[in-house]
Amino acid sequence: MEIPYTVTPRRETGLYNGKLGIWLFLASEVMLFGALFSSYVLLRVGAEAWPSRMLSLPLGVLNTAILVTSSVLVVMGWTALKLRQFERFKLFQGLTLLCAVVFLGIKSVEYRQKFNHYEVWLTDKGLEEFKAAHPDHEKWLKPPGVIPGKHSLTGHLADGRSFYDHRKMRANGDKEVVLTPDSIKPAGGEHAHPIRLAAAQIQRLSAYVPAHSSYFAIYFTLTGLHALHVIGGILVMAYLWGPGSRMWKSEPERFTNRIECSVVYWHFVDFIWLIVFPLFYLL
Amino acid sequence: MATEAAAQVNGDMNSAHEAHGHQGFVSKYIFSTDHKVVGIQYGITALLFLLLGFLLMLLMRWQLAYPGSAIPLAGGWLEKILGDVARNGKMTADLYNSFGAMHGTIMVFLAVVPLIVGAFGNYLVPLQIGAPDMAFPKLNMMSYHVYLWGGLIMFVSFFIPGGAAQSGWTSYSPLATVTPTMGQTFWLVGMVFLITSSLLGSINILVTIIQLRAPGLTWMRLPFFVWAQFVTSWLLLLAFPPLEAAGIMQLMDKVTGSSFFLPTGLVVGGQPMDISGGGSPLLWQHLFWFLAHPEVYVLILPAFGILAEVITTNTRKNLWGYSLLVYGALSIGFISFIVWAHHMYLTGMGTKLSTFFQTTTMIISIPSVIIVTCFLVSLWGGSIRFTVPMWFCLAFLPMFGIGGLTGLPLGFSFSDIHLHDSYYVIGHFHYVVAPGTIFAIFGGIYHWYPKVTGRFMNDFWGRVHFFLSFIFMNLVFFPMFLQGIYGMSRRMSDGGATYAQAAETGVVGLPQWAIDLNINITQAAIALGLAQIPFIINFFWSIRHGQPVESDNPWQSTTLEWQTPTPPGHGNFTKPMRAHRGPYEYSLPGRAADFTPQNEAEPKQ
Amino acid sequence: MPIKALHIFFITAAFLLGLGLAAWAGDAYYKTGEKGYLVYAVGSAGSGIILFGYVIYFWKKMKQIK
Repeated sequence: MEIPYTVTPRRETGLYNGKLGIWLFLASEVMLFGALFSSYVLLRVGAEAWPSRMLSLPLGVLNTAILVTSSVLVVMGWTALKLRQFERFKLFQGLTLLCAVVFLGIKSVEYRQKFNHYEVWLTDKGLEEFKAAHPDHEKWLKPPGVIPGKHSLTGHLADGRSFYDHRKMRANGDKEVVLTPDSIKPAGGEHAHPIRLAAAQIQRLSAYVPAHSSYFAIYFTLTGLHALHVIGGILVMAYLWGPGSRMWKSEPERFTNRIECSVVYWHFVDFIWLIVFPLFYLL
Repeated sequence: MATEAAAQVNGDMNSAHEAHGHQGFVSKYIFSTDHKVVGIQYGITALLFLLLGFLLMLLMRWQLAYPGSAIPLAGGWLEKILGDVARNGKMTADLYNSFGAMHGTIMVFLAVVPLIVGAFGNYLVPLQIGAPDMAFPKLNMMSYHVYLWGGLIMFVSFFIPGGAAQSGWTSYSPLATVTPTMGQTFWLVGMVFLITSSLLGSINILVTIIQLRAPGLTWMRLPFFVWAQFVTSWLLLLAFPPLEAAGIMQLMDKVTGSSFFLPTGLVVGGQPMDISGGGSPLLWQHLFWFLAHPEVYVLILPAFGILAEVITTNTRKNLWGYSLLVYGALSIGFISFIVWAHHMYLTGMGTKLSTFFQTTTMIISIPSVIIVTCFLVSLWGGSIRFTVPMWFCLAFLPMFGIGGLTGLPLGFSFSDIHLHDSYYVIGHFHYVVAPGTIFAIFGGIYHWYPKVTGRFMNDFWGRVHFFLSFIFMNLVFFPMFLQGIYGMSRRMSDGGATYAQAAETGVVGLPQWAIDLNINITQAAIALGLAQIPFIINFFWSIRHGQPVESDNPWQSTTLEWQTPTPPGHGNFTKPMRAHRGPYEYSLPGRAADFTPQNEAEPKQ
Repeated sequence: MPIKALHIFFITAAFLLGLGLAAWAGDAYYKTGEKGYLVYAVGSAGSGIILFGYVIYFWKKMKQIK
């Protein structure tokens, strides 16, 4: 029993089934990411303060370049297939997969960098004590940001751990927190030794995790969902590169159509990144 | 079971498709890619969820009628299974809330939509367009399984510590987020599965209808059922993703502690919450209702589709106003995306915004009225056969009329201020879905049962089922309009006692008769439940013992699904299908028979 | 949409982003004087030109393929 129009296009529409299917799927994806972008706009417009320059620009630009290159490579693979050059197709598809995996690798490095990077807000009394203890505090004390009216310190914990916060601090009964602070450019240099903060001085301590602020919440959600889509694309393309490529021998046209659908999907994933990148890394 | 009937047939049909070789039970039934098997899977699963949702409601209704009293029969079991929330066999407020939230969720997402789209849509669309199967059979199989797992996750949530979600099917934040139990998290994960299943299914239906129509089957020759499924699938495709986004964000709030929907300065239980703040509860509402409004048109359009088929077959007449129906359905589809905030009139939106939504809401009632009018006029001059499916579909019309008309005061913000979140709303939407869509579903089941199983359901018990259901549906839901107008709020586990009129103090409150109506409603609900027993027995008994059909087209219908063997085998049609005429050529003068099937080339004169 | 058109649309979007990034980085360099931004500005402008060249090449090459 043959399903018609899996390979030959239907004359009325000019499409074969898979192509229509993938475009409909992308329509729903536009609504999905559109909802998240709209939420970004709403959250940002409604926020008193919106952080900027929180993400690594070099890594972001590198990732953008990698994804754009991967889109070029994946089309080269499809072109090779159309010209019946199966080995070239395998090469380009493999390179595309490599780019995608490197993208995810860089993204996970970026994520990890955030999880052990902290922001500390002091209580009013704690702030006075801190200023008294550190005459050079302007090098480390950041102006009020996501918590209106409250200065903060940022930096890493001396033991380098991740996912710590003030709730854990109080639950464990930790008496103090040892922070290697970030200096405020361009004034500060290297701090000679880590700053010791008593638990009583700390109002809030958070790594740059979704719970930190709306900015990071939407950052992790958008990039996380995007990364899931990248993973999905990798799985499909890897299947088509590996076991799925057997179809080239038996039904080359149908296989080419499958590749075409995966190329369309990959362009969409890449296009979403082209929007995500300026929203978080530039604006 | 119905799958055994399919087994009988598949056994007979094996000779027709030996190319498949021997298929084991698992690949033939559990992981079948045949749209008919998938449709039956959806149907049985969804009917089970329908029953579960109904039972939840009965338990809630006991609490409303007799607040604080132990539930007979079921109370003991509940206590054993669920523990402290049902201590002494009584329903606590928390349990009531979770049953309420899950009743809504189960009925909408696990029962009605999977029935009308997953079961009826999957089974009938390929047949009615003359196709051998859906465009993507494997995707179809997957979408059923993802639905099943989503449903199981929802079901399991009743048994976890803290119980199921308890913040309404609408899951408004902050309440849904700050409730300290895991039920809401399970709900959100379940919803992600269900939305995924729905997306895959809708893509399948759309591609199938666009690409796989048989030769000669132009768009305006499609049975209205197919048009209804077409528009419905567009709604599912485009409206669900914002809820998925919202669900992901609420999941982030619960699991990672973010504050997408939690505003700064939120105080819970007297304590300021330790969150980053900056979120917006309104954001959740907008995203939720952006789906949930088109969702109600998803609930009704396939029912209109079923009506078209049953009415034409049982009046022996073409539909009046086929084009009006089609354009009406398309308009409903478009406009349904711009009315959502009529669920949010009480959130403090300004008059400009509420005027916009009131206008679009009034506009969308026009195509709905046109559609009902077309159906009513279609009856005029018809030779009406009062079969069981016809009774259900006839009753749909005034019931949907009541449901639709009672929606008008809700669509205007000035009147909605009084009626919002009251029992009036519950009466309104249940009229549209319960004696509305569910009656169409029953009608559809009785109508297509002979094609699926080769036997009729018992006619006498079908009539009993209809008449009792019709009476008791009205007895359950009509009083709710009165309760709502007099001020009874929804989602209150004490049945309104908190706001009761206190005679001595002279404070104006809910009159005692309104509260007492709860008892009558509960009695009617129990009777409604008992009225379903003949249906359940009839459904299963008739598979083996129902009166066998004597032809492949026992109702003498014109549409293509009746041109298959009974039940249809793998690949559906024994010869290539071609449509030569419109879908409802009944009772045309000069023809030998009072109906001419769509695929008949030369009608006998 | 045919895939050639999609690819051209995508590369155009990437090219515009490159120009935008160059403008943004140029503006940031002007404001802060940090050399890093100059690198980004020049690099993005350069990448934009390469992409532009690629899209012309792609368009010409694709005339042959169905």
